[in-house]
Amino acid sequence: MTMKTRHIAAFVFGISLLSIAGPALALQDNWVNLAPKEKERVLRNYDRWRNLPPQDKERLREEFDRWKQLPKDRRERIKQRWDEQRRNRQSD
Amino acid sequence: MERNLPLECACKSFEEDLVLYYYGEMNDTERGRVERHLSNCAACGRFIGDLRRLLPQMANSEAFAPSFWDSYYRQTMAKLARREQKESWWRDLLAPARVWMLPAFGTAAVAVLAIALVFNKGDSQRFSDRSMGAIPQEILADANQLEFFKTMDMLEALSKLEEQVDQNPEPKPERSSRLDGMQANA
Repeated sequence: MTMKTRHIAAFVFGISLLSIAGPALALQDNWVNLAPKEKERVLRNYDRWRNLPPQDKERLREEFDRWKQLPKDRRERIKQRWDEQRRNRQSD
Repeated sequence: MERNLPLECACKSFEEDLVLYYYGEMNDTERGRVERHLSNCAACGRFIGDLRRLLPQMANSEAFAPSFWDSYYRQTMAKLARREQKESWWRDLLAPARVWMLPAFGTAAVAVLAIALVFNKGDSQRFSDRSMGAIPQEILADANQLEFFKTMDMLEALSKLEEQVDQNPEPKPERSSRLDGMQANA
């Protein structure tokens, strides 16, 4: 292996590491930036998810895909409605 | 029979003179003196015979035209210049930084690692009992997964929520309700 080949290999390896590390660090940032209550909700949902039967998991995945396809304003209205109901439940 | 020995030994005092004699680089007096010696000395006679036999062969092996050497020199210099140019573009790029780059990057890497550890620790203590390492990889696998687990409880009620939104599209803001009441009273 020539010196030039070694330098090119090192450069490519470094770029690959950066391209992998970038998204991973961004995901960690996403997690770190969550509010404590959101973190708790994510972890609670995850624990529930693990215990769900496969057909429910499948249905939720489908709902999630549908949710992502909804228009932005509709999503916002649904989210607003959901937040209202949650606040009402907490106050009751 | 032709001898294979390179050169016969000549008299020490005549060795150089015999070479000059062979090349014809002597004046008449010296040439006369050498010729007189040659007529009396068999060893020097064999030496000059060897010179006549060997030197033309050696000269033949180096019979390159000056243009060949000029061309050879130019080609060699051009190859060296190309090689130097090819190797040096990235060295030139890094040359000013090469001395301090390694220790600087090493120090920076250690500093970033230390800061990341300190902040991660603080964050996990403030916000959550579970450290980053304890977060299941299924959650952090990609941004979609995190979003999925964030919205999962809402997704369970998505169809109902959609129905409610369709039946009662927009809850009226408080201000507009008051305005409606005032208008009604008026």
